Amino acid sequence: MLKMMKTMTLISILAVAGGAAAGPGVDVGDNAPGFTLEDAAGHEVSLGDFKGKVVVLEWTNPDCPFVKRHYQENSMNKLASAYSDSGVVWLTINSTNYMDAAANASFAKKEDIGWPVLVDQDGAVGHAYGAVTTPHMFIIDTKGIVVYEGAIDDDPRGNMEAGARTNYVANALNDVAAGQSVSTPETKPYGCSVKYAK
Amino acid sequence: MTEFRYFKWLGGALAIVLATAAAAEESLVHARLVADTDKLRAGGTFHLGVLLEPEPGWHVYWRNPGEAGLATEIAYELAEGLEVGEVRWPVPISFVQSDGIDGFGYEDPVVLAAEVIASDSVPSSAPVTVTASWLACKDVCILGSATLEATLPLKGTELAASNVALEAWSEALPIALEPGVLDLSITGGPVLSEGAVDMVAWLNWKAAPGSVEFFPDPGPGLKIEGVRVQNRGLLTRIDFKIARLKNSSDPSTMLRSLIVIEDERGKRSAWVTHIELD
Repeated sequence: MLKMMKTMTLISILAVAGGAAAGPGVDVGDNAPGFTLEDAAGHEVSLGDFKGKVVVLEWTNPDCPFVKRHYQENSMNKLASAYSDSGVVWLTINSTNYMDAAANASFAKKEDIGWPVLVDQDGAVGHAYGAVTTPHMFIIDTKGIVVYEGAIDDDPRGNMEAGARTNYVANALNDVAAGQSVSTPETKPYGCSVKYAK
Repeated sequence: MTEFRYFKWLGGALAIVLATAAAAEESLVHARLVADTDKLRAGGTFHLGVLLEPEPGWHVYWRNPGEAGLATEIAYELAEGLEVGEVRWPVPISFVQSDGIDGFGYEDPVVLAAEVIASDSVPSSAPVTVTASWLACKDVCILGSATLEATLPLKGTELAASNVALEAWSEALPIALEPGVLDLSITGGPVLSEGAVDMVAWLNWKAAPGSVEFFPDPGPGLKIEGVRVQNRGLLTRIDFKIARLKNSSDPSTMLRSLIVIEDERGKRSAWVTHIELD
């Protein structure tokens, strides 16, 4: 009993300065935070422009080897193209602090990216979503709810045969298209840390 | 209490001695095979692993890389008659990878190794292959790997250097939490299938601990955010937010973690704890 009282006293002392830090970003089931960013050509793009559509957000950094691999393998382009044909909106967001519109334009040209690459140099949108890695994927459904958050697939090192990989984004988009809840709505993202502005 | 030293002193000398153990490769991380047996004995045990030496300023990752990064991997191909156990990881350091993104890993030379058991049929010499795969990061990140081949037992300077490296490895491993070090109590939880939960680990030390660090090592279906450590004399309060990944099949009921203290002279001690989640 004495020990318990002692502990309680100490708890009350520390509780003043305590308070668990809330995790930043969005969770699956949250409303997707709105944003307006400029694409590599300087045109404003808002999430609100795509109300009623399924939107994929792909955090990127052209200097990151995980990103490079996915583009060299054409896996990101194939995925984006396949689902764009069925009305899914794909937005690539670059929160790398040292990459301006010109750097993103160069990346888009080199990788033949036909969808918006958005400039988020101050990291505001990246922090709002809690993007921590490149790549880091989010899927927003037609009601504006985050229905998937995490890795693109289960093969961080790219060692697996293409057919053996589980592509979480493709699976989630298929679930959404079928009107089903996403069977794997959350995974641990892998990759380089997002190089946020300090 | 087990004390250990980091491997800073291993740096140059060991690298030179071991240079013949594997083909040198231009890399941000230099990898050398280490094995501390002078004779393969039936029923005997020894340790086999890899010494990784990142270039200055670069780091590789612990088994939990933190919020970004990638755990280092060690894979073994052993001759018949040799069976390898689980890789054991020295205590990592923590670093900020980018604004608000924590990471856990190693900047100084580190050995990742496992115990190997020799069966009754073990030959007197046996080929082994150890493959290390890592993500090395500084301002940018580079994936790397090394496939290291050797015939055991090693001899001469290679064996001597291995013995030194694996002795340091052994001293740098965390140990199970012993009675008499601290009382651990948990508030918060349970960690159910939905939603994040705030938990607090209270460490009531028997002796003033110096600085305290907390390294969570969650299973694949758990995520940890917002770790915050506060010290007041003999009490340490560790706040964190924990959640199960939605629809995860990971049945973890415990959170494995390391509690690490460092005294004024820079000596670190580390214990493994298991925090109940249910």
